[in-house]
Amino acid sequence: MAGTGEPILLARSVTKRYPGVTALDAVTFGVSAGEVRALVGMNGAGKSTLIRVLSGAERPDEGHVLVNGVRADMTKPDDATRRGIVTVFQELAIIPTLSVAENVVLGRWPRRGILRSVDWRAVRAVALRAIEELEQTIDVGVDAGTLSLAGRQIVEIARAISRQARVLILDEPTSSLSITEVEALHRLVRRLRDQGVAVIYVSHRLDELQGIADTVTIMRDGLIVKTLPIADAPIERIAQLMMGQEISLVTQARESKPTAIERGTPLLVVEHLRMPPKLEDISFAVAAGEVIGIAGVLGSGRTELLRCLAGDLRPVSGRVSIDGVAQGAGSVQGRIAAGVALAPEDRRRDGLVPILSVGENLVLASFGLVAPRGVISPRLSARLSRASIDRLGIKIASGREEVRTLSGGNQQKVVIGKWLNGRTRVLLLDEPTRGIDVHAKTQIFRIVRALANDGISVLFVSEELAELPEVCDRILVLRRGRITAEVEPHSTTAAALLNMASGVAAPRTERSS
Amino acid sequence: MIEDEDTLIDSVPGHPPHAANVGNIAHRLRGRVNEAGLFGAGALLFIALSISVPPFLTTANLLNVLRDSAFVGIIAWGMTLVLVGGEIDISPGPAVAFGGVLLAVLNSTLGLPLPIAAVAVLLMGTLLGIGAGAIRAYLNVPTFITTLTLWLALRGAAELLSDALPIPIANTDFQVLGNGSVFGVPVPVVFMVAGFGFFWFVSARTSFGRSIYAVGGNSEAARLSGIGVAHIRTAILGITGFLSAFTGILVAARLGSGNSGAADGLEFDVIAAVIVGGTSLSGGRGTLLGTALGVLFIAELDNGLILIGVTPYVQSIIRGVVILTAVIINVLVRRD
Repeated sequence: MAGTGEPILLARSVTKRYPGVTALDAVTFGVSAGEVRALVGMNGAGKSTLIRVLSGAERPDEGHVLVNGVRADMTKPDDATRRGIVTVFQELAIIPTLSVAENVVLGRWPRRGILRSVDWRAVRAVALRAIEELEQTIDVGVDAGTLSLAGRQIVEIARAISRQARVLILDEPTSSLSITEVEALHRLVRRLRDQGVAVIYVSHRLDELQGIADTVTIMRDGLIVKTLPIADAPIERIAQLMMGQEISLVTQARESKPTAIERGTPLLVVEHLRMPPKLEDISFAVAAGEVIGIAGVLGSGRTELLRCLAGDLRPVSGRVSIDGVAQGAGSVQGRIAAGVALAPEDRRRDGLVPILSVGENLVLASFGLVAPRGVISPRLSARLSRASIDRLGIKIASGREEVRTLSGGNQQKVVIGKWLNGRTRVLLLDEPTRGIDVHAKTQIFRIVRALANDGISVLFVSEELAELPEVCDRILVLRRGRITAEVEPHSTTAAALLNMASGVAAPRTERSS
Repeated sequence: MIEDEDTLIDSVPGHPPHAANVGNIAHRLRGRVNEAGLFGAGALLFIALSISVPPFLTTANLLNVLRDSAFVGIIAWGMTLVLVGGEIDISPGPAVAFGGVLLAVLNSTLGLPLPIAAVAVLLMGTLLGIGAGAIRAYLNVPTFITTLTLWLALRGAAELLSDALPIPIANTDFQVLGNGSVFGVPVPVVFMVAGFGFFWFVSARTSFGRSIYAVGGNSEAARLSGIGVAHIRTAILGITGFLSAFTGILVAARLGSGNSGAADGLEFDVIAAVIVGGTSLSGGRGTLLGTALGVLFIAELDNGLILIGVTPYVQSIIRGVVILTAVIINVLVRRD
């Protein structure tokens, strides 16, 4: 399919500089009608900048964008949309206070009559059609703000579909979707390709590219390294091209894994935790220094379980004890005092204060330590944040940098670093690797193992089930709010976990406890 | 959120209701609770006042209540759009006074015909609002600051132009705009009702209106959807600027003069009415219907307190408590 005819969208010798970095260095990149092009690269490789240039959100310093061979000087997103180039940005572009239907038609409300007034009937119909094409059922009448992350992502993709794109740019479209939603999206992408739409597909999930892309372009350091037919690009080759000289394979992360865990008195014990309809009779125990994976698909209750343990949600019944001490009904402050810390799923929204500096974010949960009498001691504060920065290998010039300017991987490290104040004993990680590159993932895995060696217990949730056997000592399968199986990491695979977690033709493995 | 949106949505042929509609109904009720509650509270107050304070339920008194509320209501329509868009305009009081004084100066001192003077006043008010909005939109100075500047400068300008004395407007026909009636309905009330219809249509049925909700709900998402965020921000402040100038003309007509001390504190009456009506100060949420109910509720309450004979000092305290209570109820209702 690749390279059929003239490129419909072409960036020619495009250069884009930001203070201190050349994000794109004379890059030439084109896609043709009926082609699905994967665009991969580590964080900072220039993918996002290239997409922003192609979609009119950013002007290149040098070079041009050509649409159907005609030079197009686009200065705002609308310029691209008008030319049939529609982008689903990674930052969710949703208006939480408006209905799902209105979010789908946002910016181009269907109108009627001489007054050109908004036609609410048509708004609803357009939104329903787009969501049906995605094989989803979302009530288009509710506020978009009430949807989950995945639901919002679907609304955004529906918006792109309703605009009848000739070029569809998807920036990490699957990062918050469940397996079935990903499959529906892939079917849709193939259907659009067959209708002659050009699709640019940015993803960190290299394993999904084989099934969806025709060609793959690999970027590194603001340059295009190579463009290959997907058939000639097995995952190992792509990963190698992405990382260049750096050899760091995910599978090396477990080098520090202890061979035998001493399962003495468990540190965290959860008994008969219930919070219908999300959680039903959850019981398990975690030893100090143990890393427990939670394998669950979206909607399995995995996020609710972590939020319950963190004191953010109140279970209807059940008991949580730490070090043999039963915990109260649950308040976030109480659990933090007991040593339980949560690194939430949506780190930019719930885990960080983006406009504060790295240093300020790192001491956010430790005022008791850095401000012994209510007045912050700059010395103690600097010492604590310096320690976290060094321990986690956060790459920054100084602790004064604002967190929002960091890459996803470094932001995640700050979220974890916030809790490394010597008081945390149980760390709850909800999707710590979402949207970060392979290299940063490997680092996160190493950090998790290192924390475990220091005696911290970790609960690790990841949508990418293949990660769990890499980093965990034990894996609990969570399905529809129940723990349905307990698995040893060396005796399982991602496919087996997925079968158990999604319940597709899975032999129901009852727990042996 | 919009009156017709929800009802129309469910009547689309070919899409039978499904299970999710149960949630939709609950959601729709919740979206209405705040307006229904405010309507109910207003009705209860109306009944209570009618029974306990005889002079309340007379045509003359009720028309007076409406006439006084018109000066708040006309600006409140625009203020609803401003708050929905995530901005604020605290300049209406001084802008109204300045508009009246400018009109009187142009007409009485400079001898310009009234219609031309009025057009000049409206143009001036609109441009000042656009200026405040543009500084927000392009230089990122919060509208609280840009309109605070207007709040300070316009009162000063009005005093400067008039030496802080009323400037009479000789033309008595002009006073019809403030004191006259059409089929028994005070003229300002006619303008208020017409304005409500117009701005309801703008907010619920035009892409401009929906863009305001989008910008207030999430400006970055609005920008990426091709909405001209800067234009929207500039325009909504232009609207309150225009409406403040317009109200300034009506107030001058009512007083028969341009008065630099007029409309003292009006901006807070307007903002209070909009907030009581359920509009969120953080943007993205709010309806014209809610604002209308808020305007009427506060006007009714003020009138009742005066008729009962409560002293102005106590009136202010009661009003403050009522506004706080209304907002607390709104917040509780909106919470899941």
